[in-house]
Amino acid sequence: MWTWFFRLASPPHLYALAGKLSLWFLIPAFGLLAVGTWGGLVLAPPDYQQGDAFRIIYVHVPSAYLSMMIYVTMAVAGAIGLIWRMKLAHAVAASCAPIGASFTFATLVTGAVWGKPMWGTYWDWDPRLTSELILLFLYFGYMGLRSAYEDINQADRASAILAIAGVANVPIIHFSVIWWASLHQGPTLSKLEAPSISWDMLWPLLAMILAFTLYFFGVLALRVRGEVLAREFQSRWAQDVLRGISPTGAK
Amino acid sequence: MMEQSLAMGGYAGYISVAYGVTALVILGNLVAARWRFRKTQQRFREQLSRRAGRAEAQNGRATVGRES
Repeated sequence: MWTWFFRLASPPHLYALAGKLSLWFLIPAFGLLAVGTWGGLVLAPPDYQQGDAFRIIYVHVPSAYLSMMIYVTMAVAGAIGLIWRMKLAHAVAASCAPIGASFTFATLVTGAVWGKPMWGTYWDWDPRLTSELILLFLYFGYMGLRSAYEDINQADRASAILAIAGVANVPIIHFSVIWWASLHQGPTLSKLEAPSISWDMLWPLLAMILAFTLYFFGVLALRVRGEVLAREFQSRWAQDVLRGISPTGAK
Repeated sequence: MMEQSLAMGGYAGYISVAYGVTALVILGNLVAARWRFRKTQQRFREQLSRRAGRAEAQNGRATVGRES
């Protein structure tokens, strides 16, 4: 297991692996997105209280889940980079940030357009909404901090520390609806008991969550390739890649 | 019947904004990642060819110097 882990620290290996994995993740992701969207918009019955407005759940919940999952991935990658001094872990963390920020933005917008017909307002300084907004600012802070340094090693270290410190916000987002009185509804899927949603409505949601997860790893692999190439430009293997020679030696 | 189902109980506007923004984020991330990768490749290929050009020019000058 450790051999596999440390092989990931080899830039040509990670570059080649990311190139292969991006398509392996993206093709099923788009298939599942199509199935999940059809299931959510057409096959799932309307909710007895919210009517058809509940269909926003199929883009809102996967976006929200991804916004938090990406942040945790970024913080873990940052921690690995700091602890094991694995520069490629920092490359992974840096690649996570713009994807995470965009899905946090999507969460806030889809939540706002769901909130208007259900709560009568696009926005409220509710604990769940506010902590999600803080998550967006954390992503912006992370990207801003990285671009403030000219030295990439300093940027890696400082941004990793920010990512690790900011990870405390993730359980706050998740448990905010339990800890405080909130306009936002309680968790639908994360309870230990059976989900409080019928199977007809649940399966498109699970398909979309899986699709978004696969999509994230596919796009992450694409971004990591660019990041690794930019960091390793001075090395022989990267120059070979740019001349059209495969990093693993095969043409 | 068709019109009724497209109206989504009067929520079609909200639903289409939510799905539209999400679709933009999904496609935007993919396009941005591919564009960034290609741009990185192109930038470093240009640097490599400039370097090769400079090295060739230096070799040429060295050869001319030896001949004269």
